[in-house]
Amino acid sequence: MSDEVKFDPYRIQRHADELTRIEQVIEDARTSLNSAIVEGGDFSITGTACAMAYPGALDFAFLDTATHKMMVDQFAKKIVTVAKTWHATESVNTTNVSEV
Amino acid sequence: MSAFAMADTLMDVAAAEAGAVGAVLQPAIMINFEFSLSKGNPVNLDTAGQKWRDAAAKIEQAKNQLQQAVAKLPPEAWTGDDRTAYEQKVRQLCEQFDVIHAYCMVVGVTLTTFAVALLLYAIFAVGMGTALMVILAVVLAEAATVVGAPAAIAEGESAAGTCLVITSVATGILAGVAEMAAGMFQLSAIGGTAMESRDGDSQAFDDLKRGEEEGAITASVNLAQNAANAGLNYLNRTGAKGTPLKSVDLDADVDKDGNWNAGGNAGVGFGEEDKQNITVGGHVQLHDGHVVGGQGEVNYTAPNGVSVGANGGRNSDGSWSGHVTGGYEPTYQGGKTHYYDANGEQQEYTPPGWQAGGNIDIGGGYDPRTGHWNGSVTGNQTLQGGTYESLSATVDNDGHGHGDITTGRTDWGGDQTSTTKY
Repeated sequence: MSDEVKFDPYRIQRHADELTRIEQVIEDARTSLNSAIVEGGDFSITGTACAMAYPGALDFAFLDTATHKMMVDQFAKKIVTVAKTWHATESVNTTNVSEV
Repeated sequence: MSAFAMADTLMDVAAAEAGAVGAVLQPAIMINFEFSLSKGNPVNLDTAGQKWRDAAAKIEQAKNQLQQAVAKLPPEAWTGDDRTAYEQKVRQLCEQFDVIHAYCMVVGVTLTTFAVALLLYAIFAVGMGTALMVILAVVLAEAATVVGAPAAIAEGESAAGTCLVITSVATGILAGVAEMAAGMFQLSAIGGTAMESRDGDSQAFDDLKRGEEEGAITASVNLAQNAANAGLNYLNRTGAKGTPLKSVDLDADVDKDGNWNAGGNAGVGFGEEDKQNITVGGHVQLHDGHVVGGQGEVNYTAPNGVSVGANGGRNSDGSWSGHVTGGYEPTYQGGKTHYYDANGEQQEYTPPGWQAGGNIDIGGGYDPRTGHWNGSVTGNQTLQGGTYESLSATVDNDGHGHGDITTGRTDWGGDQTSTTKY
């Protein structure tokens, strides 16, 4: 039936693995940002306005990319859980039907 | 080496010239002071800018991979309303990635733009230093006699006064560029947050708030350092009584994993004419409020240009490393000239000196948990505060007898490295 809900748990797992690889790409971006920590005097004393605005900009980038990495992680975990739960339920149903 | 590496040498040349002229013509003292306020590190800023642009490219890559992964998922692998909801959520996430990408590009470009502003200022400063030297040459020629001195000095001070006005305008422009760059950092963060929030990221404003709170700690440390150094630069300007404390360096930086690096250095001059200089400092790394690493450093420079130093300690990952440094960078001084000042008294003019030489850094590290060790030797040729040639060799060992040896050379032509495994 076309309205039926169906999962292919093995294909879903592969999709979740792809998401985990994407998490690593985000982490690589964070590692790049990590080496963009700048000394206070690097903007020069005249550039102090910059030296005061920059740390907040960098820290926001750290936190924002961490949040998005976690979002991808949650996608991966949730869909694997749903697929496994459906698969377990379907197995039970199939067994019941054949026993009748 | 990029053009930015020249900026250090240019600023030091300009400052030395303005300082020497300042001993004769008062307004040049303030020009030298403004130069000291405007010396930054454009190499570091440009490198940081490149890192932001690298991060932007990776975020773009993550977004593309995510879109492809969802598109490749066959319809029969997952059917139902949940699938539709998932694809909608992925679309929102991709829009958020676009926002992050744009934000990283803006910050990365702004950093390099400000590095360019510092380099342009350095080029202006060298031009100004040359102009001051030319004015001074005329003054000294005419002030060679008691009779000619008062008029010559007065004219020289007037010309130098005009130079100071021009310099103050240039410094003001640099400060203005800094304000605009600061604005770009702030507005992009706020704008990005608003767009991400619209695109479904409910965490965005919390991240911005926490980022600004933690960033404010670093910001106030940076402000304290710059304010202190501005004051010290003023107290130590040419002709002033000076103070033993020459400079301070204060750090409080958080990294991507929430670890803090905090500490500072102070540079003190002592002895005759404060020509002996010692810098002492230390840093600690904190994780969750616990000290996980600490390093100390000390450096001594003698009046004849010889320097020795050592730094090292325990790193936050549990490994140990240390460096020993030494250098010989003497200042070559031209001969002194006599002239008469406006009061008819004979004075001595000391032309700006040229500092040239080399320094060497020998370092090593060891990780007791893995047995991994490394060693390095780097030699630099320097001119007037800037490095124009650098040779290095490093050896790396994984603790089991295998590793690699890397040699490198950096000069005006660029960087070349080669690595051999063993």
